[in-house]
Amino acid sequence: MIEQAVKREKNAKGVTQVEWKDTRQFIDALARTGDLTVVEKEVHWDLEIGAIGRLACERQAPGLWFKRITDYPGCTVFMNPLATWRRVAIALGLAAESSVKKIYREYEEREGRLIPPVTVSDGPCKEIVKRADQVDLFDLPAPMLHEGDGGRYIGTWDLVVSRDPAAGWVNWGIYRFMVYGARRLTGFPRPTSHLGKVFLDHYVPAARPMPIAIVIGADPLCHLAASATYRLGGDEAMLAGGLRGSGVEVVRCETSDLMVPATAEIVIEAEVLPDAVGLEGPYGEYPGYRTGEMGNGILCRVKAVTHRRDPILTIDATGYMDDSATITSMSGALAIKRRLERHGVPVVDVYVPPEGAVHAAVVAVSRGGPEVTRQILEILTSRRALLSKIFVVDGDVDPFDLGRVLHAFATKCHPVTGVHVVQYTGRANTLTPCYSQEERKRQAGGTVAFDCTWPPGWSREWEVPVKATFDSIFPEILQRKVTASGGET
Amino acid sequence: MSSGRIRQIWETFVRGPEQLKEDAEIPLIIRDLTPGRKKYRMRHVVAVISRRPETLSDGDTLWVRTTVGVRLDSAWAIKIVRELPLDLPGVPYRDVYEALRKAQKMGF
Repeated sequence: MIEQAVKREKNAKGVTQVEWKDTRQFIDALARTGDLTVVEKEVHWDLEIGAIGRLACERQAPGLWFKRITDYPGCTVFMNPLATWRRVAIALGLAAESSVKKIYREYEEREGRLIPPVTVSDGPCKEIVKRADQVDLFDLPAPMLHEGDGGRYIGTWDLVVSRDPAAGWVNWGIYRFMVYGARRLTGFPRPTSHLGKVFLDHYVPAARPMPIAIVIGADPLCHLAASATYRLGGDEAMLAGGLRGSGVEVVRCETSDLMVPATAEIVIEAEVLPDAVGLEGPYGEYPGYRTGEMGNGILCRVKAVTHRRDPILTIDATGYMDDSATITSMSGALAIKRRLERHGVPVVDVYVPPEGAVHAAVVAVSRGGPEVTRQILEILTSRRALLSKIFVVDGDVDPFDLGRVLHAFATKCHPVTGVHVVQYTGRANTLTPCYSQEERKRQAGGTVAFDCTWPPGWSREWEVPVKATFDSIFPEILQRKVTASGGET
Repeated sequence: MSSGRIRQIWETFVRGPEQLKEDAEIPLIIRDLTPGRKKYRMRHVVAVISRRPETLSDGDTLWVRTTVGVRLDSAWAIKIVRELPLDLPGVPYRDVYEALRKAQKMGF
């Protein structure tokens, strides 16, 4: 059985600990469960890797480890680390065939158990250290992922470390970064992202460069934590420790006091410039489109690059059903659930389906109706509005079962009174494909919530339609009889 | 008769056709399409461009892509006049093309 191949230990406190400490051990684990394809033939960094990786995402195929890259002997590329639920399950130390619901519950349980990082004085990520003029980003096989992208994206499966200078709070986030020159990168952490907000609030007004560290190829749960929809001020390094069951070993950067995972494959130490810009994008992004978001990013000066010997560049073949389809969706769903609970919404469960590209969420509630739907809509669009479609369903609908959700939407959502819309400016998701270029510029958009619940005022005895399904419209005694006989009475 | 000079190939991204002004010095962000490790290296330049390559006999080839990354059918010609700084003075998250125009006007 596959579960036996994935070692999972419990320490003295009963906390689940996963066995791997880095990308290399995770690759080994995937090979043991049949979730890795090793590509030994030479492939080109210019589009070929991207095309293979894209197809793998769309087919939900195993992760890819490219061993020979044109122009780059000595470097390999590991692609789509957590783009299937099987690989997410393995990363968490669960059986590869675990259900999505089981993975959600496991993540939710561990998320509440923070474990601080452990500082070490050295680590594998320092095996090779290049500073200043020794640095040339073209020495790394950053791929051109899609035909027509703005550049070669080196930061796709990364975690970017930054610090709020006022509060001392450290942020880990996954943000895209493109090679611009030998020592220049442009990037697009959204202005509303945690990194973007700290940069605009604290560094730009003071005309100070902001130190960052772009970490590539840490252990997979570090990246999962970095991708999490987490509160401002939340410490993703501690979250990663909780997910792993042990503190992440971190080591100090060469050119700043930021701390990075010691077993990472590559660390790019840089500073975001407060007074200079470069072209960033366009880029085929996680919604599955290249929307034309271009030229409104940030420019970074690279000060040092450290890496392991024979470094493995980790890459997400960004687009439909990429790594965000699993991990960003899951952490986003749980963040929505917590937020709604804090506001007193009677939420039962939340699911963000991978096929919805982090734009659609299903919220199951124990009591629905227009007031609750409106409340959900307002809560989920008040700061950053990344979702554009919300389906509110009754608690008897399993939000993970999209067939049932579509049935509820088709039959219970009133086409006139069941559709609730909110519009906003300054906080819309500029990557949402249906927005015009003009809306993108103003960060203007909207979110629609479909109320697929029965009005709370309707009488159960006289008004609420009776569901004509096997488990609802027959006496329990008959249901038991039928199921006991295998449906052949 | 061939001059023997190898025409280099560049590519640029523009927000709209109005940015492709001919017979004038205009600021552009271009990238180098020469194969090899440094392919796609970016440059900020002031250049003259033409949709009729024969009018810029000593020019290079320029491909144009739109804001959504679609490459236009025909190649243009480009003659690079001067370099602009790679660190373009400007405000983060604001339009890079505005910064580019300012850099040209400031005479970098």
